[in-house]
This record gives sequence, structure tokens and C-alpha cells, in this order.
Amino acid sequence: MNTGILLSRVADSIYWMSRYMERVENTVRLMEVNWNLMLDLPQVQTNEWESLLHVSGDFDLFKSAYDEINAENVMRFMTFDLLNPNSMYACLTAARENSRAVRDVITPDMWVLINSMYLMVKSYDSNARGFYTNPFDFYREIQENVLHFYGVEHASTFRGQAWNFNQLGRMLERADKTTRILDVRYFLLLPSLREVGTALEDLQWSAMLRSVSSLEPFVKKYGPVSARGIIEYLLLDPQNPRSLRYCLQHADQSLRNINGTPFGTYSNDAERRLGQLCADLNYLTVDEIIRIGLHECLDDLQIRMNRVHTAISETYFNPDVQTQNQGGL
Amino acid sequence: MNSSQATDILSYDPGNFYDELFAAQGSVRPEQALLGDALSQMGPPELLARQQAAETALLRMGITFQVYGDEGKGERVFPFDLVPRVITSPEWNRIERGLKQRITALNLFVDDIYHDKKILKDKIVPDWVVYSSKGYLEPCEGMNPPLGIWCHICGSDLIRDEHGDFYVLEDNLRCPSGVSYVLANRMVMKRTLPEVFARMNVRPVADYPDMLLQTLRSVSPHTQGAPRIVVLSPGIYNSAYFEHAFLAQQTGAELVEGRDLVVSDGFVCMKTTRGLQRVDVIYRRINDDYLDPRTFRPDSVLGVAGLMEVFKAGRVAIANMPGPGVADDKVVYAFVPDMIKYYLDEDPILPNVPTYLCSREEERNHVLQNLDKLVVKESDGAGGYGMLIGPASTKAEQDTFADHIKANPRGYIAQPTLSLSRSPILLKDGTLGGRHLDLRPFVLYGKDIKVLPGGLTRVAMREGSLVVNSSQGGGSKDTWVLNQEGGVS
Repeated sequence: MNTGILLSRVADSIYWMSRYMERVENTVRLMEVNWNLMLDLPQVQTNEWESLLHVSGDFDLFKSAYDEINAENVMRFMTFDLLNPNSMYACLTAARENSRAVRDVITPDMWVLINSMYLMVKSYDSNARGFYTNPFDFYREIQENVLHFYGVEHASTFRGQAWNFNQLGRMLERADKTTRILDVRYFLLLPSLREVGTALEDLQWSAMLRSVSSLEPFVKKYGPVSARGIIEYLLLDPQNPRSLRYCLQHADQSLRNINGTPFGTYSNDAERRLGQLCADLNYLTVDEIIRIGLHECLDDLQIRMNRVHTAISETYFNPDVQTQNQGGL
Repeated sequence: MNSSQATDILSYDPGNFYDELFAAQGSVRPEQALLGDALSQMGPPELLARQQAAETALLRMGITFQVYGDEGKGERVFPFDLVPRVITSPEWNRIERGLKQRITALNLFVDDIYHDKKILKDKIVPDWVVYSSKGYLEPCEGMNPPLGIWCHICGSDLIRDEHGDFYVLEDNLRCPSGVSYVLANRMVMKRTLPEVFARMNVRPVADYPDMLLQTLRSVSPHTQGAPRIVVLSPGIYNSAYFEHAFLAQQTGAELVEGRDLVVSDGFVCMKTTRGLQRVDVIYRRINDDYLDPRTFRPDSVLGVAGLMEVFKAGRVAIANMPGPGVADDKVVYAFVPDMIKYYLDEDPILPNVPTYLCSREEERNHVLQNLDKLVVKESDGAGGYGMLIGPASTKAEQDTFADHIKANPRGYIAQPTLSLSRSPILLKDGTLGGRHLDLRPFVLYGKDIKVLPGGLTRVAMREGSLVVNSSQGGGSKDTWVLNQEGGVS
């Protein structure tokens, strides 16, 4: 076993394996929650399904391939359609391809889990299984599989560089999804931001919190669902494992572990950008977010996260194109 | 055996072949009585259930390979049969001695060919045989690998005739593959037939990765610190990618592709998240031609530009070396018994299959007159392609091969159609059916020569077929080499 030094290509694959697995889980959770919500809503509301297409940014792609926005089409597009690079199956396939490229680095159990999951989805006949009338068990099974994978990974992975790239990918992906979900739902529910919500809107806000797996802890800490509470909880709360701040702080820690860089300093552009972003989040308030405008604020955060990703990629995955900061032999 | 419990397996017909499990119909070989009893007592439903469980385990483990020209279908599971192939201790001891003798002679031959060429000067092997072999690489002239070892990992193919005698069918001195299936098959078999396995006293194979690591370390050019070893693979679309990843993981080596390596300041280095890191030993799983575009094929993108210069400067070791492929040629193969005599002054312990060289007029005429009886092979063919199996061929196919042979006599050899031994496999209905098989043992040559007990038993899954290659629908079995005291209870 080498002392945790990784091939750049391997670091790249681990980072993406992790991002794609997280994307699988997020997509499935979003679909399941939405499907549940639809059962509670009084009539067929297609804009709920439409909003999911905006979360992943695939609305145009969907329109080019499907005539009508309805539950079945959106579920098919987001779950099984390989035409959609963000569908659960496409992400799972990509996660598996990446893990295949690093089979010597991840533990055998991790590979077996990803592979078994892939084989299960690949052979799953959605029409024959009545998936579109009751997708619950399938979505549940996928989520449980991903959680099983996370558990094995957590319990068995050597805490070296591979682990840090893995965590970095996961946390950045999770941060990205949280901001996207908040952004899209904010648009849909805009009118209620400063008012007392209707029963329907409450349902929708609750569903959003469920889709980032955190309704119960929210209620415990913040009480009834409110826009301010949600913004604080999803963006700034340091104890919510899906909040932007939490995710980015953990990503920052993993990124620093890779090079052994102390807090408050940086040794490359990726560390500088992510450190700066975390520092800003540490001192941001809900009032300030509302003053700037939630959408504008989220937009800015996403652009900055993208720049972090680009800097990581240039620093670690393409060592040819930049000047090395470490000695060779 | 308790005949009241006997089920279908005793009606199995071994036919006019040497059968690995049965001495005659209804009579299991005495060393394998425990196995026979167990199969018999389980009966078809239980056997099928266990076969299914084994296949599911292999699929989930992703123990797959890719067939070229079949990319659309993606990875396939290597077919596996749950009836193990058993080799007794005395049989194995002879094979092991024979393989050690053979690899020693072959390695001396390769070293001689690229240096003094004594065996050519003494007219034991004709010059033209060597220089017309596609595996002969002129750039390897004068190269001096550490410890004089060219062939670190060898996988010769052995077959058994109707009398049960073992023959060497071919030597694979370049990148023999299959050892990961040996280890995977064993993992699965220990789960599939644990009660039989525990009582048969089977020699373990799990220490192969450790033996491989020791072999690779023993040739490292750098003596300070633990050498950094890499497995050089063409990548995930290669048919043997699973094996490359598996061996890297099991030995703690880095799995690299050519694009991960670069020559810098006179060393081979890998590109890592901590910059360039020196590599000491390369276990390469890409072909000779592709290793270094500056020395071999200039269009190769799989290898490392400048690798051979670093090697010549003694700063990296390569296993296997480029060059030994000269002896994989089937015309050169015909001279291996002479090499053993010449270099070691010994008689071959494992015989060759008699081979006719079409480049010799007399032998060519014999071949052309007996195309319906012989097996004709391309001298540099592999994977079961480019073969004519005389007794199973049509007149038209024979005519085509006759034309090929006349046009390019050096390109073809012929051998008698041996009656390959058979072993029962489990059929879809739960009964047993006899299928032909071979054996690929793995030999490691570092400071010492070590042979993995057993090897990959490849079995033709189609009835009557003599082609066991995985690319052509062959499968595999676990190979159980019994300990001295094993097999009888």
C-alpha cells in the first residue's frame, strides 16, 4: 500500500464516482418526494414535475424528446433515460464506469455494491413492474443501496488521499444540489415568501425539506415551516449535514487534508477559492441574503462553486497543464 | 459408495476419452471419491441451485471479460462450471518439475538469442526460424534484464491425451492472462462446495499475489526502500481489465495506463496528485509492440515514450521483458525439446505435441495430404483463431488452408488431432455432460521459480468442441491440486 499518493487520473475518477453516486441519491430522493407530494395535492399539477426538470437544468433536453410534461414522462426521463446525462441510470452508469477505472483503489465490497446496483437497475423492467403507478419501492431500494454503499465506504476506506477526493466530490455535489433545489422551489413558491403560507404551500415547502432529507430536524429547531427558517437551515446552519455551509466546510477540510494545508492559508488556487467561500458563508446572515435577493445570492454561490471545481480539476487532475508546486523525485 | 443414494451422475458416460473424474462409467477415480459422493448425494436440483449461486456471485463481483468485435454487448461473465477439475499430488509434482525445467530453458534461449546466439551457431535451431518469428524484436539485441530474467510470468497451456498423459501445447511468454480467474474461481468454489472442499485437502492458491509481488520486487533496479511497482494496463476497455485491476489491488501496485506515465530526468515517473513519482518496476499488460513508441511501434499511444532508454540505463525493470515473444511462435515452439537438451542437458519432463513445420517440404507434403486428420494452426496465432481442425472441417475449408499453406509455408504448422481429455460439466437439466478441457498453469520466475498449484482449467462448454478459449465460448473450472495425503478418506 502506498502512502496515499494517487495518480491524477485515479483522483479524478474517485472524485467523479463520488459525485455521481451522490447525484443518484439526490435524483431518486427528489423523485420519490415529488411523487409523494403529488398524491397529496388536490389536482394534477404538472408544474411540480416541471420544476424537477429545472433543478437538474434539463428542461430543454426533456422538451426535445418528450411531447408532454406528465408524471410518467418526467419519471422516465429522470430515472431511466440514458439520453438524459442526469438521469439516475445515467449517473449510476457513470459512477460504475468511474469505479471500474479505480477498482484497484476502492475496496472490493464497494465495487460489488455499485455493480450489483447497476445490474439491478439495468435489468429492471419498469413497465412490467408497474413502476409508474407505484415507484415507491424502487426509489426506496435505490436510496437504501446508496446508503449501504456509503456505510461500507465509511467503515472500510483507508483515510488517505482517495478518501479525501471522495469526500470532496460528495460534499461539493451535495452543496450544489441543495442550492439548486432551493433556487427552483423558491421560484415556484415565491409569493408566499413574506406571507403566511396556505396549506398547500406548506405541503410544498415540507416536501422540499424532505427532498433534502431534513424535515424533522428542521421542525425541531425552527418550528413551523417559514421561508426565513428554510433559508437559514439550508444555507447557513452549521449542524445540518445538507446545508451549504456544512457541505462546503467539510469539502474545505478534505481539500486541505490532501495537501496538509493549515486553515487560514492556502497552497493552491482551489484551496484559496474554497477557503474564501467558506469564510463568506461563516459571516453571511439571512437578512443579507433577502436584501441581495435569494435567487441572485444562490446564483453567485453556484458560480463560485463551479470555479472551485475548475480549480480542483486544474490543480490535481491535469497536472500537465500547470506548474507543479511539489518536487518530483 | 452407497448406491441407494446414487442419482443421475452415475449414468454419466465418459465415452472414449480420458475423463478427469471418472475411471469408467459409474466409477469415480478413487482419489476423487469424496467429490463423486458429494455430487451424487446433492442431486440435480441442489447442484443447479449451487451453480446459480456461483454465477450470481461472479456477476456481482464483476468478474467479466470483453470479447473483441463484440463491444456492443459489453462485459461478459466468464462461464464457470461448478464441478472442479482435480489433479493428484504425483501428477502435479511432475507437471511442476516439467514447467520449471521448461521456463529455465526458454529463458536461457531468449537471453542467448539476444546475445551470443550460440544455439544458432551450433545449428540446433535454424537462423531463419528465429529471425522470421514475429515475436523476435531486433531492438532487444544486447539488452540485459536484471538477474538475466526475461520471462517473469509464464502461462503455458497443457493438454492431456486419451491416456491421461500431459503435453505442452504452447508457451505464453508475453502477457499470459487468466490467473485472476483462478483466484476468483477458488473464492467462489469455497462458498459453493464448502463441505467437499474442506475434506479434499486442496492446495491453496491465495498466496499468488504475494508470490507475484516478491517476484516483481526481486528484479527492482533500486535497492533502497520499497520499490514502487505499477501494473501497466491498456485501460478499462481491454478484455483483461478485470485481471489488471485485481492484480494491482492484491499486490498493492498502482494500476496505471500509458498516459499516467512519463519519462522525466532519466526515470519513468507516474503523474500523481503530489507531482511526478519514480516507478521502479513495470508489470506490463500491454503488448511488446506498444511499450515504447520510440523503440517499437511509433503510432502507439498505450505505452511510454522513452521507456526502453530508461530500461537500458538500468533505472526501471519491465516484466515480462519485451522480446521473449520470439518463443511463442509455434515454429520456435517445435524446438523447445531441443533447447532443453542443449541448455540443460536433460530430457524434457513434459513433452511437446508432435509438430509438423510446413516450411519443410517433406513435412508440408505430409500436412497437405492429411488436412482432414490434422489440426493446422497459424504460427503466430492465438486465442483459438486461424485454426483448421481437420476431422471437423469441410473439403472447402481444407482447400482454403491448403492455399494458405502453399502461399506462406512459414506461417503454418500442423499437429495430430489429439483426443483431449474431458471432464463432466453440469448441464442445464442438472445432469452431467463430458467436455474437453486444458490447463494453463502459471509460473513465476524471479530469484526463485515458483509454480501456482493448479492453474486455469479452461473447458469447451459446447459438446464435442475442442476450442476452450474464452473468446470462443469457453468457460472455466476451479482446479484442485491435492496435497500428498489428500484425496482418500
